[in-house]
Amino acid sequence: MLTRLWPIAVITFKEGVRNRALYGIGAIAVFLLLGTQLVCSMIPRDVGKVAVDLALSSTSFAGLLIVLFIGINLMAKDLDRRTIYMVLARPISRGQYILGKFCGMGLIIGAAMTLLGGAATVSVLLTRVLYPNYFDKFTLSTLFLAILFQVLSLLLLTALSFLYSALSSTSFISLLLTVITYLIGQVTTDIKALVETADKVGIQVSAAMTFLVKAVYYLFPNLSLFDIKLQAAHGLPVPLTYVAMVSGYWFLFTALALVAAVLIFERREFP
Amino acid sequence: MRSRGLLWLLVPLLLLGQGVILTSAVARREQLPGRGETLYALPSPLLKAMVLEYDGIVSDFIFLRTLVFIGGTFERAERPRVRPQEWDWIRDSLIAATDLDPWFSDPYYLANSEMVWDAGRVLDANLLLEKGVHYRTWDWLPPFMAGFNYYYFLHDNAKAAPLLMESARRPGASPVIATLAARLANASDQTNNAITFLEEMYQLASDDMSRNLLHERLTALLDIQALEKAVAMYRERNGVLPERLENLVTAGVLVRIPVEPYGGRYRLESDGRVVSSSDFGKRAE
Repeated sequence: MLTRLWPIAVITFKEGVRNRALYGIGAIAVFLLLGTQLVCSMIPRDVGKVAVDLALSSTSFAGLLIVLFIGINLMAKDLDRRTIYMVLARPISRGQYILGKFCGMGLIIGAAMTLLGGAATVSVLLTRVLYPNYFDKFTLSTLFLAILFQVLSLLLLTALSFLYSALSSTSFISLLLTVITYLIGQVTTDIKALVETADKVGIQVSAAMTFLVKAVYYLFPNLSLFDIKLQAAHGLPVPLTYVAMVSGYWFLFTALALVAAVLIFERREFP
Repeated sequence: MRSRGLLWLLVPLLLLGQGVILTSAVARREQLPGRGETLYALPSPLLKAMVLEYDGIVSDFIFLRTLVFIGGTFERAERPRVRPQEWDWIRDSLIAATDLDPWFSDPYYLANSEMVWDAGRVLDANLLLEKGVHYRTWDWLPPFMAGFNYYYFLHDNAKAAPLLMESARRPGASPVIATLAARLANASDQTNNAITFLEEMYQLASDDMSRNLLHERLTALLDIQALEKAVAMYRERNGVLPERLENLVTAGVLVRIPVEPYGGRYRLESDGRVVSSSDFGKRAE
């Protein structure tokens, strides 16, 4: 199984790296990380917190761009340019094709986030050298955990984008659906809480709306679970049980998305 | 080939041109009606949903915007320097920043240094500070500041004492705070308590503005302390209180009556306490 996935993964990785978008995203990251020093010089006290905020927001934003502009194109290009026939003519099942692509995208995300995370860590440590008094609660381990969680979140989003690519005929629809999933995934907890305590806030929510919000809550991934930027910024503890629980959630949801993508892709007719 | 050369020449010209226009366009924009009235702070539940996963960085941004706004008001000629609705916006912004990231310390400190001393919005500031007390469980400053405000501005020792006790329990707190908290239980010796408090605050102040404010206040309190001592000495010598503070000078207890830094005058109360006519929180502006 793995021997068949590996060549597709490697080709996908090379294709992704060859894509110039990666350089642009890298430039954004470097720019944002340099900006950290400028912003931090304006903060009276909590410099460490702001440095970590900027570093982690840069990595997650650049990572999101990679998923949206490289990940989706990787599969869409095969379909648009009909190169998929060449792949499927070989002794490879459609399921293996999807899983191989996912592994390749995993390599791209892994490599990109290692670079971005490295730059983020350097930027935070540099700020600590400049303002050593404001880092008393900061720990590197929580920073790394936050970046690792971002990788998981990006992989989950990639798996879903593959599902959308298997479903839709154009890459634009996949892009749109992925963006919507990302948006929903980030706000779903807040919106559910808002609907459930609507009386306290003083807004009227119909029963149908409450049902809809709850349906969306369970159907779409809860990406805010993977967001521990604030904990990393303030050096607050993240219990091991939480890490285990979120990893489990990630595994189940990613598997769900990939299995669904494979099932749909196998039935798909190509023009 | 010649036209290619002209095109290259055009690039710096266009660059320069847009720069020139930009400057005057921005200047015109400043004069558009409604500028300065566009201050708004979004309600927190909406804001939290809108900022997606970027709570921390948006919180930083809101804080910086507030800080820059307050900084900008120091260049204003008009009095009061900050309008009431602007103080409302500052308060709402700091609430929003701390709703997005309740562990962020700077908004709490800004609320304390600006809203208390400058605007006299002690209750607003304390509402924020008590949020800081709740979230920043390792930080002795928020309970200390809130306790100070209750004690000093709101004269509410019952609320100040437990906050100071809480502050004294946290790491890094000066041992003086515990003593102060204990002293607050009996409300006597107000001036000395305030001086101890202010000296502590003065040590903490990081910027020149609050240092100056604190220095002014500390000077006034030290004056009052000296005057009250002189009054006590006068009473010991003569058996009665002086009628007016000037009598202290004529009796040779004091060289001169110090100048009140806020433009008011020191006055002797019938019970021997010395107060300031300007009631120095309420400044002339």
